Amino acid sequence: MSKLPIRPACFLAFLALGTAWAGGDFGGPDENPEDQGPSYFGFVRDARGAPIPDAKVTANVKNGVSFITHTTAAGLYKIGSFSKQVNPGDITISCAKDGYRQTRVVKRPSPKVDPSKPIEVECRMERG
Amino acid sequence: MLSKFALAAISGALVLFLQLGVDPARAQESGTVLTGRITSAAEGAMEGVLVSARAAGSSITFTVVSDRDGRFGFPAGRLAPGRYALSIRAVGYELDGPSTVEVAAQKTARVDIALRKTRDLAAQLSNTEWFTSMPGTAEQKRPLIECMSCHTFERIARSRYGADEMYSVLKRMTTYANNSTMQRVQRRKVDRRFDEDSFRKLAAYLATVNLSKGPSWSYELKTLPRPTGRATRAVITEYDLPRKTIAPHDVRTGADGMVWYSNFVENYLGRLDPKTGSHAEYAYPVIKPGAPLGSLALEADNDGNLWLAAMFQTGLVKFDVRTRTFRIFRLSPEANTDASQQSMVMPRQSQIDGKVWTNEVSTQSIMRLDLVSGKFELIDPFKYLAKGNHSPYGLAADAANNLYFMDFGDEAIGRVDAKTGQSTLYPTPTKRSRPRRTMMDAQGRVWFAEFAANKVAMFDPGRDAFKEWEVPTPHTYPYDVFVDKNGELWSGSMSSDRILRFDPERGTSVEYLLPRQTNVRRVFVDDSTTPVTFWVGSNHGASIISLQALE
Repeated sequence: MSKLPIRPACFLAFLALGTAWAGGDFGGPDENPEDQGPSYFGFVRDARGAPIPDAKVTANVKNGVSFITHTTAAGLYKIGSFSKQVNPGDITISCAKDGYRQTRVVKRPSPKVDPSKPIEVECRMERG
Repeated sequence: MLSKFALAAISGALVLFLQLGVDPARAQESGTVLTGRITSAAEGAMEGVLVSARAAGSSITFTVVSDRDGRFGFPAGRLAPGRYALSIRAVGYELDGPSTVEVAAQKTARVDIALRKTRDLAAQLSNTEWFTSMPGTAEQKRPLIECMSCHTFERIARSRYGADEMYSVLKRMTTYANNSTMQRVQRRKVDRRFDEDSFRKLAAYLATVNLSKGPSWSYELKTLPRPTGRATRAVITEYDLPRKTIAPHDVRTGADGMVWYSNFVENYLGRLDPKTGSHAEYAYPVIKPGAPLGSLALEADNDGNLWLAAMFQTGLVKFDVRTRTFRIFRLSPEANTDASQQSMVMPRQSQIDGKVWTNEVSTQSIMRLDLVSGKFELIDPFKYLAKGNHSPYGLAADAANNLYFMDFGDEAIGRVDAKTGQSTLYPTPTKRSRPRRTMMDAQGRVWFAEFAANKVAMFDPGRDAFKEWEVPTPHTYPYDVFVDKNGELWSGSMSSDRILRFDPERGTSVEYLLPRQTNVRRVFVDDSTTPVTFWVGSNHGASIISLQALE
């Protein structure tokens, strides 16, 4: 597993965007904290560690829904939250972009198991 | 479970209206039949004033727009000889005295129109102009986008409720069905959820922008500029429907040139003959007694037959255009709760696999009707997501009858695979965009309105990629889009009284102002005419409107 410095700034940016999974404008609170299950964020990088913008990132729940998004100009993506009924072990993160192939997917170890905290997963690709 | 209902043909109710006034065959071949110039003391010659002409006893109003010299002209072929009442729309102004004009055969009538400043500007503001005028943060104003589905902001602005009374009013609003208009208020069987804190905040805010503190508003009433240039080159035809209670929601034309519409608050399918102005209604029976009446989505299948999403009446209603009979597809009793609601239907590609897509609003789910068994299958595309405000809304189907749906509650486009039933969700680049209605173009691209983001957008399934464009006027809140045969996008909203025509290739746009306050829902373009004809219903105004650009 490659060792990359943790990027607290990006992590905070993700939390600030946590209202992204928000809803209607009339019906009340947007979120249902009781049901916050796994969520993900991370970078898609090339072989040299440079972030890849506009890469497609897929989170696939085994036998269930797929969630497809693209990385930002800074190579960052975020996905979630899934229901807490969903086991993180049943979720596969993958990445793709024309001219690249995925080499590996690295899950950052989290200090403690807190389902409300996003899981950092980095996706590596190389040319070819 | 498939009940068949032979149409109670409304031969008696087939309302023929307006033979007077429109008779293209007898009108002049070319040029203009009625011209004039518009001036005011304040501005001199006025550009962008909408001039409307309506023959005595007629239900059809024709509208043109003055050019930069203040001149207007009704093209020949629109107005038959007769006496016409004239009206105008130019925010801040009104006619300086009544205006009628006699149009004779074989010659051009001329009338010059003088305008004076209005003394009641508030009565002329669109919802967009109220949004712009009211002080407050975006967060304070945001919940108001829900209000305009039933009434204008003028009603809120003129109210005298303090915060506590306004809170009671807001609570009362949760008891009404979303298919309510001022002419026909309908109660829900199950009240809407609401959050007390949000409602208290909203009530307190509204009490600062209404007339609870005094006889006039504490802020300036701001108006949008009048149309200029290209936006003045259009002819608008408005067909009044025979009852004020009719709330046309989705409008579309058939191969026979007829205009069909769904009625949001009554169990009728409406039909208008734009050539003669004759109108007919086809009644379908009450499906669920005690539940709000009316339907929302109106779509055509591959055979040209029409499908209605029956809202709180529940289930789907198919109309055979040839035999003029209805067939009702009911939910099973165990799936049909007091909150059940089908707002959408997508039968467009049902010939592929015998399946018609719809939604179940109460469970935030997709449903799929099997035409052979008549059974609905429930598909929950959000099953694996954290619970939230999801709401599958606008639907489109590709050539293999795979479904694309808008998550109106949130910010994603979804796809349901027709073969596997598996869902894929694609979040829009803009957060909290609340995608609303949609259409698929000939290339399989999904065009849609981002209601809460004030944007129109395109999703290309081939590349899993989005494009978004901000609409020109802030606080428009587009409801729907339609891409015509020339690749131009048309859009409208419940707020701005303007129809957007946008060229995504060039990035150019023009906004046509409509003659009256017009709560716009589904937009439709008839590609069979040259130029194309834009069609829309006035959901609160009981009329059908067509617009043709003069360039």
